[in-house]
Amino acid sequence: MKNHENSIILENVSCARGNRTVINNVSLKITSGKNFIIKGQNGSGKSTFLRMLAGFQKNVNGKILFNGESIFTNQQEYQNNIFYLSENNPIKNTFSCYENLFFWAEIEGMENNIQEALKFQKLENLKNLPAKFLSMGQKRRLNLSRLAITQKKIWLLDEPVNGLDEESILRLCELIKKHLANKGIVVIATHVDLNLETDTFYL
Amino acid sequence: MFKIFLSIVKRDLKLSYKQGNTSLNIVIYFFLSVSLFPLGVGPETELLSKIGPGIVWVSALFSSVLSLDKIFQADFEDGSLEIFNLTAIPLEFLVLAKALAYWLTSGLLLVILCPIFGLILSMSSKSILYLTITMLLGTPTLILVGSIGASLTVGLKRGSMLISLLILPLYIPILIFGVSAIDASINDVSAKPQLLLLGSLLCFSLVLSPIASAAGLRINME
Amino acid sequence: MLENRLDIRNYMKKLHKLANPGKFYRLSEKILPWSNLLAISLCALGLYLGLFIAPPDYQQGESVRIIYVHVPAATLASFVYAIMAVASAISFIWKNPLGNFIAKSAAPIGAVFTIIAIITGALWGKPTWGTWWIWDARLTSVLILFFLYLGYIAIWQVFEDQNKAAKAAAIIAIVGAINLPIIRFSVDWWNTLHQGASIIRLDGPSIHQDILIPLIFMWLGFLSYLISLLIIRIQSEITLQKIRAIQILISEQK
Repeated sequence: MKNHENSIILENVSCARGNRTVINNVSLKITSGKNFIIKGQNGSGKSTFLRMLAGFQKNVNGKILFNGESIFTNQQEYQNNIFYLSENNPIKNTFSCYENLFFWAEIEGMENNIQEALKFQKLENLKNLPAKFLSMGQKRRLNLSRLAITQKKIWLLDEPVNGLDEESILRLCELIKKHLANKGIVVIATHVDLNLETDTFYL
Repeated sequence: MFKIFLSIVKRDLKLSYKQGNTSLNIVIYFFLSVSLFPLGVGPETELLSKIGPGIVWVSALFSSVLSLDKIFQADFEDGSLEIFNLTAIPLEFLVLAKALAYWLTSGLLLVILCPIFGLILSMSSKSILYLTITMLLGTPTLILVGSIGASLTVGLKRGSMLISLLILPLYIPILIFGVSAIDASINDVSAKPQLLLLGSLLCFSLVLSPIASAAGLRINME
Repeated sequence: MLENRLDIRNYMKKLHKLANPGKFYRLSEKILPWSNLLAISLCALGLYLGLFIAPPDYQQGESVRIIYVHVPAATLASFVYAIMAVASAISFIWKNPLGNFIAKSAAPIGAVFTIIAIITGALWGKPTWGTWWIWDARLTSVLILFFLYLGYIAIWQVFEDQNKAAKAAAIIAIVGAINLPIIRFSVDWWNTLHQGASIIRLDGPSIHQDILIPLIFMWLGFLSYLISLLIIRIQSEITLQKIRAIQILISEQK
């Protein structure tokens, strides 16, 4: 197999949650530079698929390879490559937008990019507002702003555009394109059509 | 990695400063339960000074176990734990960082307030000194051991009752050594062995409970 | 991929490969009648020797005969916890579900042994010490052991996902097993501080042979009973797992 550099390869992967097999015998290749979208009904295992790629699922059969190496052999190192956007927004209500972002930037060692991140989702005006005053959409945008800070290679985005207005979605797509141009990997679970060139996989 | 550790500690301190009420609640609960004992057993100063160390210690046990289920809860529910898991810091160190921050905002307060409780319970100045020392050595262990229970019950709705059942039996050695050190000082016997034992329990739990807690968190994150 | 198909044969094969409960089942079927027989005959023999042949104690009189129940129950109570902890550790490290079945099945048995030890201890304490309960080091340790069992059983109850429950319970069992010696030590320490050595103890070699022999019979009888109970409980646990797998299969095929 040539050129498994910068790609995630799944070989006959099955994954169970509880006693239920959610993902059944999937083989596919996720390449860098090309957006990868997972589609499916509610409960079809989109989130589990992303969690599995993030290395959170334990009951995984089959092979998941990144750069030709199983993600479980050196899990801590592999997970260090991952940006995972879950359905939840890891936002502390008592912190302001700036403080929330600052903390996430700090644990990645990227404190200098915060202004840029605030600009990315037009949150400059809300900078010092405690997050409890934000609307759901604004919280989602604040959470997405982490993307403008991160240096991680693999982006796993679970329903990133839920509750977002069109302008915000456009800005997100711009950022994803930029990341893909830099040989990044993006996997999105969504049921909304994004204006991107994509590989689509139906669960 | 140490930098991440520090920023987690800093964040938790800041969070509890902004929320405020949690650590205040622990202190108030502690204060309340200590002052209930004289009402229950009678106001004789001799009796109170005798059972004072036990009262303070048992109250410390209960107040720590009652509040501990919150230590990972918020981070678990909003998905912060998952993001911690994707940084360079192993989950074990995250547990340690959170336990340290938690101790600084609750355990340390109890230690500082110890002399006041000692005075309320008409303990001698010497036993107050030993009470403070044993609490200083014991409260971090309480939090570390308690974090195991907290990590296992983090995803559960009715976890707080269970956590007491799981953790209180494990607190017994700390209680026994803590109180008996003070007893020894009252009886003019050297309290050194008890203090050393408390110290070794602290070291022991410093190593083992982050491992167990991290395993517990991993189970619940799956 | 839209419908999830779970092949029951695959699931069973996985279960089989990991734990080989089928092999366990066949083996246990062979052991069970023998352990039943041994439990009944040894206990009957021990009780006969203990209650009718062995002499009463010169200090405690007839009430000493309670040790034929108390001592086996108390020792096996700790023994069962050890089984539980080892089985949990094995299942946690090697991801072997059979270990979970063993630990889960053992816990209530151990808890019941602790209750028996505590109750008989109290019954014994009344004529000997003049009080139902005494904060003796051993009694206190057994009481704490009982709490540990309760915690372990409770953690199985609160998790909906049995796989998670198994792992969480395993952690608690291991943590408890590490702590148990420390707790015992601290309780002994505490007890000597407060009580002195005034309590009459039936320590090892001072037991008379006439008492010791029925005691050994009783102990072995209890052990056989434990094995029988454990086998029955593990078998039903395995059956329960199969039923669950079949239920899931049916619900997903609808």
